[in-house]
Amino acid sequence: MRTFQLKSSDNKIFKVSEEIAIQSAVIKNFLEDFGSDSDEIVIPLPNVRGRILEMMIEWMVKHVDEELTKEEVEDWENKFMNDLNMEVTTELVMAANYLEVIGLLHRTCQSIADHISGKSPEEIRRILNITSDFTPEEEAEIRRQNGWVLNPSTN
Amino acid sequence: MAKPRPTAAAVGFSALPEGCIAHILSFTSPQDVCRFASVSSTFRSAADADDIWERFLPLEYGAEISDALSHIFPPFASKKELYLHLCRFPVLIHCGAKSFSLDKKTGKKCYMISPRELFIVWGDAPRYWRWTSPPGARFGELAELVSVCWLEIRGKIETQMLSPCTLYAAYLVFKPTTSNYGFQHHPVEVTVGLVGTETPKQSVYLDVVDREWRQRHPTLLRGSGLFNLGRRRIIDTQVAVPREITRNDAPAEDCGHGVPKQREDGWLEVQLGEFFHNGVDGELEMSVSEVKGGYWKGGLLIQGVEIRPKALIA
Repeated sequence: MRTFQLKSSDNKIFKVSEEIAIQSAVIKNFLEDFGSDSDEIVIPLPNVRGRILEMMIEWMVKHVDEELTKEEVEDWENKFMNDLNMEVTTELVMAANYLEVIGLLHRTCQSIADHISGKSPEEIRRILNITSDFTPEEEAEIRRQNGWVLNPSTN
Repeated sequence: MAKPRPTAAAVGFSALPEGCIAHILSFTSPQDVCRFASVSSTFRSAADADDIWERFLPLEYGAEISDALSHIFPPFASKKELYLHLCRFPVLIHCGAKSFSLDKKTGKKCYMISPRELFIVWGDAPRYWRWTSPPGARFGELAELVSVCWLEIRGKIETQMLSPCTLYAAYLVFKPTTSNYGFQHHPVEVTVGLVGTETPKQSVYLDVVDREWRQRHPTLLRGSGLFNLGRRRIIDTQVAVPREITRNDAPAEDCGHGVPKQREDGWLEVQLGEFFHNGVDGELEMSVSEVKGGYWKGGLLIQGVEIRPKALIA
């Protein structure tokens, strides 16, 4: 089994096996294009900081662990997601999107969706720490267009 | 490849590409997506994207939907418009045997079974049932109950046509005609359940009578129907039913069911029962019957049997 080194934006180095790393479609393509038998390959990932890369690798390791049952992986994953705050989850979405780790992307997006489902726009802005860039007139117009959400009897 | 960011700074949510926001929104409901449009301009643009609304559109009935909508001009500018259209205007499927629409808030599938697709006992005997085509009817032909002693209507639908993990409720959609009689104060028996399983029976009324009367007379003993002369005028004078024949079991309408409700389209509907679709394949059967009372009744126009997700919040 080949191993590689992944280098984060803050120059932290992580050694991973091919089996783990190819869960990222981007790394898989990289290895196919620049494949070599050397263990010395260092893949720079300038968009992912060390802390996030470490968590991604932790997630990828669990997902190739053949000693775990599907349920055990799910339980682990639920706990893993529950322990994250919104900022870290967002960073993981970004990293999973960038490295095309589809399973992690689905799971992190699902987690954010769970946090904002059924919430008002004001609550969502607070949860995600974003500000509205609409003028009050624009916002009123958008709310009018989607009025059926607030008032089920109108169409 | 983008420039490396400062290492310590956490990424703000607003830095997420629109595609990621769209992916997040696709895990929520149509209602949520519309609400998210007013969060920020990136959210708005993600919330209007065809990609998301395409996921809320059914994969089935593509041909029926495009046939039904081909006369609409100009065509829909977006998948969201198409979605909202399918919520408001049901499309006929299976050669007009059923109609299909979407539940606006959840995007789940709703159906109405046409009267011709229902099994109606005596449905082909014109002295008992008539087939009419009133203007504005959803289906080509509606069934009009003239007069029967044995009332029995059954409808079936394959559970695989329903959205999974969804609590559905089935409703009889109907209207009393001017010659309506025999339903006042007399409940009918309704069921909803998988074919081949034990299905609980419930009693509902197909008549809108005053609530007070029912509270005083929770369940009229069946036998009294034998003496029913069959006209509303006469029943209206029968208010002095002795208290001894009432039972203690609470009338169904006390929990919000059991009596017809007015629909937005002007028809009445009464709930026949609920069914949670957990993904198991089978045939769901809904029934309305009154075969034990032995009295005559008539004057109902049947639009169909509707099955739609049950709203969890009133």
